[in-house]
Amino acid sequence: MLMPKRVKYRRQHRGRMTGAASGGVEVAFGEFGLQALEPAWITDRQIEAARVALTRSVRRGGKLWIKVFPDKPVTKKPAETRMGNGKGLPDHWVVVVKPGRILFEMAGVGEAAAREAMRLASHKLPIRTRFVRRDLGGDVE
Amino acid sequence: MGGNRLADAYELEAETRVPGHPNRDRARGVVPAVMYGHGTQPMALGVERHGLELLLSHGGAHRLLRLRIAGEPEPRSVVIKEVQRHPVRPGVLHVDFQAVRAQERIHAEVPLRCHGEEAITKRAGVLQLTMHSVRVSCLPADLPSHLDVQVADLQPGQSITIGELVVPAGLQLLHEPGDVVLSALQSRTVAADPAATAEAKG
Repeated sequence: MLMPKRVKYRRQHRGRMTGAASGGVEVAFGEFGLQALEPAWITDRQIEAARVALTRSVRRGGKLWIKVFPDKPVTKKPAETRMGNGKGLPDHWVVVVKPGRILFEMAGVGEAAAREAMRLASHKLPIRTRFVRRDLGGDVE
Repeated sequence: MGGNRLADAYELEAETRVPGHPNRDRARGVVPAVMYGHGTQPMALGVERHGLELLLSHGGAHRLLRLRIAGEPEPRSVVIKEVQRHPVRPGVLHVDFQAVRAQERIHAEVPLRCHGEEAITKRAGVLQLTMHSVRVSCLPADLPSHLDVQVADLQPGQSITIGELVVPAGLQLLHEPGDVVLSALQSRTVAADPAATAEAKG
């Protein structure tokens, strides 16, 4: 599972997810991409599940880029614990995704194979997504 | 090799615009734009959206254009320097035009078009493009819409560098000759490219 090697502070505030993504909104490395259309916290498990779906779908061939990294810790209090006594322990890691962010990119496979792989991967994610293609200038579909 | 030279430039209609209410202009189908260039005063313009999108979908982003500004007798020669798009919604938000002079060299991005990729796939290889476009210096009339790269003879493990690209006369590539343009890799699925992931995160 993706997670930072070490962090300066173990717990973070939750923050806000307003607006659209300001960076990582164009297909930069590959030919095809999967773009988020809604804001969400995407967990390390969801990224891993989508990655497995992508690699299994194209089997061999192609190259895959994971464009997001879960670097935000989410804490959770143990079950059946009374409120208080401080913030819970770090439980898992998430990435804050805003609309427009490219989550995965692929190259070296045909468009039909990439589209099918991205469709399978999108089912592992908690948000609506769309398939985008690099055009001359990186236009979306 | 070499792309299509432009004998006749594409045309676009524009009007002068008072900056201040970009969304109001977008609502009436006009895309805010700016035109600047060497020896030219920057000028705020509005471009009709439909015509602009038609032009962009036909490769106009990498061509010499003729911009007909309302009230001016002669069209201006321009190239598109930047196109801003909304990350989610369709449509263009803003365009930068660079006014060019026929005798002055310009710097521009020219996309690469690979031919023979199927031959690499047949040899269980994958084509990896390090550059999707190259930065060139040329006279506006010599600006090609794209550069063709033949990759059919590339074996897995081999690459093509800037020095190996064949470019039309008058075109100068603004890269080091040893810079890798693309390479053919042995086919395998890479789980995560740490360098790419780190770059994406940064």
